[in-house]
Amino acid sequence: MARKGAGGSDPPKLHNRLAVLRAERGINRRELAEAVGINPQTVGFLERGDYGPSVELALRLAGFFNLPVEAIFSLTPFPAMSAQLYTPSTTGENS
Amino acid sequence: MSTARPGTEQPGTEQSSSEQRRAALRAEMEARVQQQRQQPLPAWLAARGNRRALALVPAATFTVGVVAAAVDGETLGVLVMTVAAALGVGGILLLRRTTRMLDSAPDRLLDEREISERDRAYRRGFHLTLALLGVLMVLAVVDAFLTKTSTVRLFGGDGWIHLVLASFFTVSMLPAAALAWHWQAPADDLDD
Repeated sequence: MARKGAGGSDPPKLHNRLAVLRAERGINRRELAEAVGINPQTVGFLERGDYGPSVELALRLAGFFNLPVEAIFSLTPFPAMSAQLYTPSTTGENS
Repeated sequence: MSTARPGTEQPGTEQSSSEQRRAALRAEMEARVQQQRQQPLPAWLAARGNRRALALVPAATFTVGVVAAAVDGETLGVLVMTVAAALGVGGILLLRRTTRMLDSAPDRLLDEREISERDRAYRRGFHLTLALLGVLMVLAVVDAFLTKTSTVRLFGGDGWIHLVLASFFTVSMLPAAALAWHWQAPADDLDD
């Protein structure tokens, strides 16, 4: 998951849901950092997308949240949570 | 079956106790480094402009070193070199403080992002060192040419000693300076 691209081109941005998941679980950066063995500042860098984690760190984060890696990290932007929760089929408009 | 007399230690025991002492010392030193790294930066050091200005201290140190090497008079040369040394020592201390000792902290205290940042800084520092060696080579060629063709010398007396000392201070600062130049402020902890 290293973000260093080859050939001098910019690497693709790695999108993640870390901030949402952290807020959902009610933990702060320090607690998450301690749980996965990194410095709290690095959690900030990860959440802002300024740093792409190694596979090992991504797996540790996935293990901590008990989710598959692709539920946390993606090369394409994640759809907005509201769009996922309130699609026409779930609101009953199509039923 | 061997029996040790009271008051004497087996060589193996002696070795393991010295290893334990070393490990305890190392742990104590690492705890101190970690504590220093976690101290908040003063506002003036955290400002991007000041950090970048500080990253230019190695260039200033080298320039003052060249002046110390080129000036006439041994005492004046030593005086100017003292300024270069003060710039070098002060610069390295401030640069390390600004970059939270990232260039010198043991690997065990750093996570993967910090290690990759540090490695990138050392790579930049290596390229800058090559550039500095290039400058020194040009100066050496010019000095040799002037010595052979005229009575004028670029560096007289202890000039080259000053230059080597200034280069040493400069090169010691380069990785920390590269880190300070590209330093990204960590996210604000208040927005947890």
